Amino acid sequence: MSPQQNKTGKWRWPERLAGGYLLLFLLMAVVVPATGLIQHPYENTQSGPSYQPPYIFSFSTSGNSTNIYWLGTDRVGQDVLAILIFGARTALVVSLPAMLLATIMGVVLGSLAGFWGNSGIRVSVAACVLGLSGLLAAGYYAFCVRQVHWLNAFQSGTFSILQELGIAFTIFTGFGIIGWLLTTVAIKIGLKKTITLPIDHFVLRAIEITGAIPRLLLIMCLIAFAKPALVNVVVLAALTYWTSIARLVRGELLQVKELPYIEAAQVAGIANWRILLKQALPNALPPVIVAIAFGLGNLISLEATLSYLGIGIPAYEASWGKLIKGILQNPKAWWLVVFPALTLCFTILSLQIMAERLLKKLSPRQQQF
Amino acid sequence: MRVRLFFYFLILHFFIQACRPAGNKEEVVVRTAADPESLNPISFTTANTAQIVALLYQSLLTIDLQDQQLKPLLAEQLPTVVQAKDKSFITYRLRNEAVWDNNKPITAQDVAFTLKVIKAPLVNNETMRAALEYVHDIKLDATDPKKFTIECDSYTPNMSWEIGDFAILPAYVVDPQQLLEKFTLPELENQYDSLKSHPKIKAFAAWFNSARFTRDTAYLKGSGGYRLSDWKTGQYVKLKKKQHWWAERLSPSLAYITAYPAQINFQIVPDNTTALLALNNEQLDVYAGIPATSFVQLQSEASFQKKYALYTPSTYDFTFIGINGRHEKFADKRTRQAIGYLLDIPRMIQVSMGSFAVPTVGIVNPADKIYYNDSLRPYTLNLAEARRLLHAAGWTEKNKGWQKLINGQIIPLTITFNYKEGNSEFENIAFIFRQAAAKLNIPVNVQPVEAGLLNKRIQAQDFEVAVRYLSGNPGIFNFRPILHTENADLQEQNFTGFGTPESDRLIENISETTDQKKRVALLRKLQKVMQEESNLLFLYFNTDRIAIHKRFTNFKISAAKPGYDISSFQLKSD
Repeated sequence: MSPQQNKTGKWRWPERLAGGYLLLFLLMAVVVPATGLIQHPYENTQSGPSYQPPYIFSFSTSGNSTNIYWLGTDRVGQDVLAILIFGARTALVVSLPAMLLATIMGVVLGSLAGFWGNSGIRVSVAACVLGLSGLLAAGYYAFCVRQVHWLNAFQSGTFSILQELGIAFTIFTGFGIIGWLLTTVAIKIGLKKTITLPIDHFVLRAIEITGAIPRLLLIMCLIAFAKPALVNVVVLAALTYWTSIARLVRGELLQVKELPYIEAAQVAGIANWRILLKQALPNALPPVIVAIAFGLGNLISLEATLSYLGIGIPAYEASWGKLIKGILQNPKAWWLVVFPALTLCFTILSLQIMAERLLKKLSPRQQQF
Repeated sequence: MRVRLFFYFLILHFFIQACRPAGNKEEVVVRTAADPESLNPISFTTANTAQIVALLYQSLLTIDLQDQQLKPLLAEQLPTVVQAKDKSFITYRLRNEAVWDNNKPITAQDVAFTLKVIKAPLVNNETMRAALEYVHDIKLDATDPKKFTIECDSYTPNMSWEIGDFAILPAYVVDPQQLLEKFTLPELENQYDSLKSHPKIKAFAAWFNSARFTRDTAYLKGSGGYRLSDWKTGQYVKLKKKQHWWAERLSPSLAYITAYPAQINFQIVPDNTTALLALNNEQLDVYAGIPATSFVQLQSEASFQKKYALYTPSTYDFTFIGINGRHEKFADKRTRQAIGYLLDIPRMIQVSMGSFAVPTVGIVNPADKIYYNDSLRPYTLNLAEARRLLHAAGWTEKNKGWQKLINGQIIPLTITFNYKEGNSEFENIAFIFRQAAAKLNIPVNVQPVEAGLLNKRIQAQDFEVAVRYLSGNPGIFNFRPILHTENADLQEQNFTGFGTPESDRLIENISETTDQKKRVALLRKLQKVMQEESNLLFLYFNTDRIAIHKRFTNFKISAAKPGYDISSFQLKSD
């Protein structure tokens, strides 16, 4: 083992702290709510007194053991500790799926752009024309014609949105099959001219357009139309967070593509998509993993921001941001800000520290920070 | 290094000082939560605008905040009313001293002109026109230009107040081309639709609906003691006292017609926290509607009490829960009563109003002891009673919930609970209600809805249960618009579908009777019927929380809006 690797392998104390904290966070967010030891703050039918200061700072011997509020209570007498624990769950429920979706979108689009570039994909003119008109028609039928249904779906909740998405998917698939059949016919009758598809160009424009609008503003505008539901937040966050991943994957693949072993594989006649999946992507992924860790922190703070502003997050989801908002109604209740702000800071900081550690581990060349 | 630090500190100090407004001793600075948007005396919409409009314009009558009595303002005395078979004639005479800014007397012509503006087609006057729909004509006295008689439908005691309550406009400023001169009130009423295409009416509406009469200092001129001097949208509205105001020449002078402060500055501060900071820095003289928790804190600070006086006048603003009685789930009044027994009103008052509210059994303010039905009890949290009533209404408890066979279908008892998005008071009420309902296994789906959308839904009667807020006035007993069944259709104000033949009769008699004893009996009966029906579950009447700087005196704190008389503020002579 080289000394450098030693250096990476060793856990420095901030990293240990961060790792320990994240484990605790996961334990709190996943295990504790499932055990039923602590009731969901908004399902609890027994409230305590409003604005009870935290017991740990009260130094009083009053209060029986059944209702000691270690971190105090909020305006309606709910336990701040319970809100913190269930708020952690909410943060996780929003950030993980959103990041997963964003990663899938980012990796797919980034690979297309980076690996094939502007000249890697050749399609027949017939396929292009038919595909484009099919896409437009499908878009028209799935979104314009059904816009009333979409609005209703967003107003009425999660299941209806998934149903609408299913219908849209069916429409697109249907048009895809029809397009493919027509293309086959067209090629059969002699329309064999092909052109290159500037996929890189398209993806870059999409990244620029999405990036041009301030993210929070865009999400706020979109969520204003929808009924508050976690699924809406997840979907909209994913639609705006894929760009950084896509850009990273594209950049890495542009580098990796030029490496000798990829060229060798191409010469050997292995199919492009296999080279991409087996050789190129695994080497391009390390920075993406780091970006995911950073992105999770961003999404957790986005969830807190949205719930603080009172948009998008349903009324009875425990959330750190909503807890902080309580200070507006009683500036003296410091515990409503201090504890959630600390958990928020520690979570994001720990994610950043772990992301840095991953970065070091995955690319030993870049160790001198 | 230290010298440099000190220098930076000095610069910082200089900037902080520069940020503070230069205190004008003669100016009263009032916090207002929202930009007035329009100061048009006919079409303004918000309650806080009414306060500004009342300083620029005057009406025939006013409420003296000192004793909450109706008193003559532009009128010489309270009107004389003559009742005929199905008509009534209300006669006023204007004060001799009353003149416009150009020193021309305010005459009956101006009152007639104002009524024409309120009745004219195409003008933004919907609210006023609806409120004065029983006014049909105005007759000017042939010999006395200051005297006139307004002709109305059959008499109700509210009329004399309502007819005395609109701002009188100067015809020479509002209609210099005399476009409305030729029209009479009956014409404007009877030919309302056909006159919409009349070129003169079109021209006047275009002229009057324009920005001139919503915000222009040159056109917003009334007979009030103040003129609009400056208005920066979202920042402030400033009023200046007039130099030679007619009411100063009144002898003997009247204590309720005043304009003492030289300047009034309505500072627009939407955020409560910012407003509190400004108050603590003495940048505000008046702040009404202070959040309860902050108010309690201010009450305990001796240093603050040295600078400001704190008041908690009762108000006529109340919060209630409306249940859609037309909905199949809530058609049975026992179901609605059961919902009433899920209300922990004392806790709602403590949590959402910081204890600054008074529980009520109905639409009458508990402060009005003679009218308030003290034999009734406000709803209390009583799960056993709620369960009993649900059973009585035909609901059965099945697998952790309630259901009932309605029109051959099994309907589960769920409640969708709406309130105005962003309102923390309502949010807390919803939470406490939901918690109590959960104890009986009734799922409550709480949905905060954007204010405009919620109003639309409620008008379309597309809701189940909603928490609302209404603002009243002392001595107003006309409940027709909000409680009579004739106003229970779509887009009308009786949105819960409340009403029985008995309640309709009571409402009609209450607004028509002039006999005090009879009115007391009727009002008490109405409260009983309303609690029986429980379409509206009354929670509490708010208590206002006001801070006013002690450099002034003579506040006239009162339950009538806005809770104090700013025109009477006088600097202490110390």
